[in-house]
Amino acid sequence: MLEATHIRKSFGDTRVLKDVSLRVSRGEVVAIIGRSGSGKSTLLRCLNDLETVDGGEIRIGGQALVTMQAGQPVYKKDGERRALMLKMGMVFQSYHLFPHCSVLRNLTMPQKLVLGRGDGEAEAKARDLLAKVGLSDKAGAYPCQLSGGQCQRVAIARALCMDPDILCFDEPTSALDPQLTQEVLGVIRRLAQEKRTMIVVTHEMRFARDVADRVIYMEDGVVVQDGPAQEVLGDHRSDAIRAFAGE
Amino acid sequence: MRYFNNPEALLRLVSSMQEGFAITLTIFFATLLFSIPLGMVIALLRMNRHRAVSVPVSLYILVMRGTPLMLQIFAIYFAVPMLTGHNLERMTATILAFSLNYAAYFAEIFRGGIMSIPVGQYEACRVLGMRRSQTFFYVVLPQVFKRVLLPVSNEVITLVKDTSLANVIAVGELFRAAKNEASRTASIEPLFVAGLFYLIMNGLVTLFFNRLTQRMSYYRD
Ligand SMILES: Nc1ncnc2c1ncn2[C@@H]1O[C@H](COP(=O)(O)OP(=O)(O)O)[C@@H](O)[C@H]1O
Ligand SMILES: [Mg+2]
Repeated sequence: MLEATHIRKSFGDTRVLKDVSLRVSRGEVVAIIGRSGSGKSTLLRCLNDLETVDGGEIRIGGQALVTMQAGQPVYKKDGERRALMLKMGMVFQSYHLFPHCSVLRNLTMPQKLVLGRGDGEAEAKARDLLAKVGLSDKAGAYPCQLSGGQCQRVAIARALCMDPDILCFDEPTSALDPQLTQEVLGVIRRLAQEKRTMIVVTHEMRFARDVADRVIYMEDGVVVQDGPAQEVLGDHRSDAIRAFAGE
Repeated sequence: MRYFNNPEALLRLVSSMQEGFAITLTIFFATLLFSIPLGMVIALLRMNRHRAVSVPVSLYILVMRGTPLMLQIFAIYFAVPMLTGHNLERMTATILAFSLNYAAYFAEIFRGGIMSIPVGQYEACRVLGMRRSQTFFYVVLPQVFKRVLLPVSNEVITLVKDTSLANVIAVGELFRAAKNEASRTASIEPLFVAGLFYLIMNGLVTLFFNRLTQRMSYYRD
């Protein structure tokens, strides 16, 4: 479903990703954990084409976003590139809802502009997904009238409206208090039960262990561990993980 | 006093200034009509990543904001015919000078507004698959509109008063009409009447922007 190999990325002199590889199969939920500054967000941003890689290849659903040619990363041409990225969805830590649009319009506008859906179809889809995240009664509200947890659920619904094959989350609950965190994690949990393919960067270790099929632990721009959640976070977890979890 | 204690004379004075007021209004609305879209174009060119575009545009803004509008009016009215061999109508020169000048101010206001939109908004659009033009027109511009209302209202209020500068090339706008009347009757009162016209007009401008601000308060960001 998604394959990233030997990803390298630097900002100036800072090498943020040093040869990171990642595979995600259909229906799999992958949690990425690691200290702040270890490169988790940068990795997710590379996968979503918000950053260009300095080296490495990315394939989404078998199609190449970027390949190495003569030692240099070469990206697909603009039109194909945008079309390919429609397979990916992304949910940010700070939601990035459109403040000037109602909740409903946040969900319908991208569908109409990007997928060319009509008013009726876009609205039906939006209402369907609002119901799914438990916010049917907020269709007419504006983002400023919602709690952080509600905003994040709207952001998830907005991403789902575009029917992505893979949904990425970058610390979706880090801006939320514990109760709101649970309401957002609950939504992600339900998506996992529906066998949606997801990559979740998170600090919620319990969530990672319970919901993720696989856990990736990153340190200083490299993947230190990559395995089944039970293996990485279970009773036999490594010293590195114990240290990270502050045990 | 010649007018303020004589309602009939005052009324005659006011109606004699009507034509000047109409010209003032023409300069005002024509300038807004041209300078706002032009200002948006200049703002975007100013932010162009190619220095070959952004540097000349910065220079343009510097000259327009850095020299007196009065000089610019003269320059366009007298220099353009010399350079091109075509005479410019006084009103055409006036509106051209005002539009080019105000566009520079609007451009900087719009640029500030555009730069104040968080990068997260662009990234959200990007991951949703929106094109750059869609992002600009559907997400950025509507939010910029709200953010620039206050500085734009300042500019518009200044414009109301600046229209009086057109009298330097003998455009018969409100201030010139008042001045002529004042010297004809050796009274200063017509100038105060003109002042009252500007004040009332700016009262209306203020009211308009207050309404607009209220209309836009349906969301906070
Ligand atoms: N746009 C950027 N410019 C410069 N440095 C950056 C940029 N984005 C991230 N970094 C640096 O890259 C490193 C990894 O950042 P990030 O991927 O956000 O880590 P994480 O998400 O794991 O906390 C940090 O040291 C950060 O300062
Ligand atoms: Mg991060």
